[in-house]
Amino acid sequence: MDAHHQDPEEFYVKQDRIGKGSFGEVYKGYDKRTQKTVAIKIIDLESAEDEIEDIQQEIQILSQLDSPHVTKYHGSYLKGSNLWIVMEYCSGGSCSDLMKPGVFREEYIAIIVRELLRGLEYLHSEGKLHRDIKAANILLSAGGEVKLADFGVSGQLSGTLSAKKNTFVGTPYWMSPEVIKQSGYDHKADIWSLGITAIELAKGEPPYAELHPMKVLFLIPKNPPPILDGNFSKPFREFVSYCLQRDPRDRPSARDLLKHKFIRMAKKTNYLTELIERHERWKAEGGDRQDEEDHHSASDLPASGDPEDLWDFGTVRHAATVGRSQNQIQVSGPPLTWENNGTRRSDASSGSSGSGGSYMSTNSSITVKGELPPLPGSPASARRVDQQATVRHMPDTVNANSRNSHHAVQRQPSDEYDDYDDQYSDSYTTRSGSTAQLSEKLAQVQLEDDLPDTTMLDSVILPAIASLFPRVSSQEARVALSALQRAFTDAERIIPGVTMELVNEIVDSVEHVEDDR
Amino acid sequence: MNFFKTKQRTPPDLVRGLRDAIPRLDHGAPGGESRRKANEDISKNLQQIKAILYGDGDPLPELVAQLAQETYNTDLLHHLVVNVARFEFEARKDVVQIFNNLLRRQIGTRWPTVEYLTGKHEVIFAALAGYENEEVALNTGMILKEMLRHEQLSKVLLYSDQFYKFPHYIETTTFGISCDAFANLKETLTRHKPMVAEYLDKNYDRFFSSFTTLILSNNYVTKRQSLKLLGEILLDRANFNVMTKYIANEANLKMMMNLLRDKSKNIQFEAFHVFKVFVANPKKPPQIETILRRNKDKLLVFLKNFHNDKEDEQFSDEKQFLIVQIQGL
Repeated sequence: MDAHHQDPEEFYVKQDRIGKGSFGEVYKGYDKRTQKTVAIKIIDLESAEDEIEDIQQEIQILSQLDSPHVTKYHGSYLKGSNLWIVMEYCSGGSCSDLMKPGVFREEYIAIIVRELLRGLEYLHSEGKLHRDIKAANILLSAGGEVKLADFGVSGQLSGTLSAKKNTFVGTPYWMSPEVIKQSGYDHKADIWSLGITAIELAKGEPPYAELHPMKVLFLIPKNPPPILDGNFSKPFREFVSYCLQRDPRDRPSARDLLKHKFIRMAKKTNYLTELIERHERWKAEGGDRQDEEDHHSASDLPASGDPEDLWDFGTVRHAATVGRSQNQIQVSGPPLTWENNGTRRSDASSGSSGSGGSYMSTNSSITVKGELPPLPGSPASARRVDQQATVRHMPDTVNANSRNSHHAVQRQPSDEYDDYDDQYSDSYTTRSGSTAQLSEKLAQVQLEDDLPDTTMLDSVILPAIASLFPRVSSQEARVALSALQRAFTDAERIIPGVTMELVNEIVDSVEHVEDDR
Repeated sequence: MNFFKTKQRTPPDLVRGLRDAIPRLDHGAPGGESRRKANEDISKNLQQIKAILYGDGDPLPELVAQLAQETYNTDLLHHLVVNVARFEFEARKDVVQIFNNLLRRQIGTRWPTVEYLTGKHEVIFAALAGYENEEVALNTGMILKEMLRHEQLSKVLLYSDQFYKFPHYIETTTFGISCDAFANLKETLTRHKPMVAEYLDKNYDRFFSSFTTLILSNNYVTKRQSLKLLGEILLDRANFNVMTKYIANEANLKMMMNLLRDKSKNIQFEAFHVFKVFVANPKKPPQIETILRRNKDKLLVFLKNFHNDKEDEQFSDEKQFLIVQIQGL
């Protein structure tokens, strides 16, 4: 039909690549009709691990947002299997880029935080949470206007767009205690993340940045909230402490925080162009050559193949998405209906007779090797394997249960997961649910570590092993996995607490690996 | 926002104010003062209506009842849907919220707005026609989606000629809108299963000749989504008769066998889930069995190499099952 009506290249010219994320690539470009610069995110839907419906949901939400404090959505187009999402372009770059020449002075931070609060006020009044506030998601326009990016949905948006790989959506550093514990959360979770971001802007990193993310999942709910220490004004330190209160109800709303002294003192936004100029100068002086390398190693770390990838907390919640799209909707969906019917086709009635026709000749190439689908082994499919490794796979198993009870029985020793899923399956926050449940369990273990507790066994090890079942193909392998589960259970019975000790050892050794490098 | 609260206007005032402001969008010159004023009035009235419906989490039932009654009396919902494209950005969102709030309104077991709309088919078709305007397509799409939750309203759409506009909307709009239209098509075809099964059974030929255009679309997403939906429809128990008819047709089998070899792995995979139904049928009609038997060796080789990288036990089991079935031909 009118396919070229949809061709993005009718309207937009794609120029330099300005970023590469797990979800795909980001290009600078412009709108042919207006000559306006735009940012274009390109996602290959063929290799994206998400349901198209999920991406659509996010676009739906993005399309309903219109605020000067939020990057504007312009449209989405399909070219082959590539999805182009066209967004407002912010030439100033992200705050994490702008921090490379050095952290920001307090006076700049006050401006940025004020603008963020305005963005959050808008979002929250729309009943939406950002859920991923951090310096990397704060963009500046050429004129110094501050824009929240990756927004809205960010749980959803970045969840989807980055499910492919772990951009560390939801790396725990910026997460509030209640998000980690999944004790139910609301817009006040963004206020916490804003407080953490303020610290990040002032010091260059969020609290606990030096620790492994798994550890941080324990520490945030367990420790008193971080404070801004160092040579900062009293209003700034007080502002941060207001944001970082453990009980979300104690944290003021965005609207209230706009009245805080620290914010009221802030200057105009165009003052922020100085940060952009500073960054330009620094680049001109060769600052980014060094940075390129840093940047590489820094961004490689979560990106592939290292411990980060193995544990991948940033994306534990994606696992639900990933698992769902790979193993459930597509595969289990239709067949389930069918098997649950119990009909097994057996009562399908037969039709009348007829002849096969010429199918064979038209498809004579069907056996030619070259025509067959490519074999596995592409980087993309290899990654999928990684992504499902260890802990991350759990939510997948969790989700599987509700859809597929007979399946669950055979691979799921821990019934409690059914309940988890029921609790969260309908909520907006579903995706983070499973992660958070896990960490809550872990956190409880830490808190009550005097008592012998089989939580680690029941909620981490056994499900993790269970998640391996679908990935082995022989009966022998499944028997071996069952034996492994029994062995853990026996060990725990004889040496109470041993599973937790083991997991702690593993976590520690992961950290050491990182330290050694 | 107390300073916005001037004297409280009654629900009928608001509805009539809104209703009267809409025609004023045509008054005066385009972009002129009186149109601007009309739009301002519309936005303001919508905000206040929304405030009554949502309250501060605590709407007053009496005001809501008056409001709802007045919207029915003035055909406000229809006017809103038809004119939403001329409203301001936030006002469009308010229209969706107001519409959907009224639609969800329940008194005991009654759904007054649903009952009202059952006699006002034009509102459903106006929401569908929203796909013709990309400015508001996602707003009207949300309204349509909310209506499709109700069987009476969904049935009106399904049994209409307008229903067959879905493929056109899906094929001619940009990604976000196309997907939204598809989602609503899917909603119409999957939410109220017995009603849909009866329809598909009675209108099999018309429906599938239209639906097949989607499966054969050049648009990657349309093709992939519609194949997946086909799989869901066929494998739903409610659609047993429809499935039986579908899998007795050799053209359908050929189409699936070709799609198994599509260049997209995702499309191959969706095609597999339809193809398996043909093979699993224990009483295959001769014309189906003939095709399968003629391609037996090729199919066996093909399936043995098909998506071996999938780590999915159920898929592997099903594939194995098909191989056994085909071997036994």
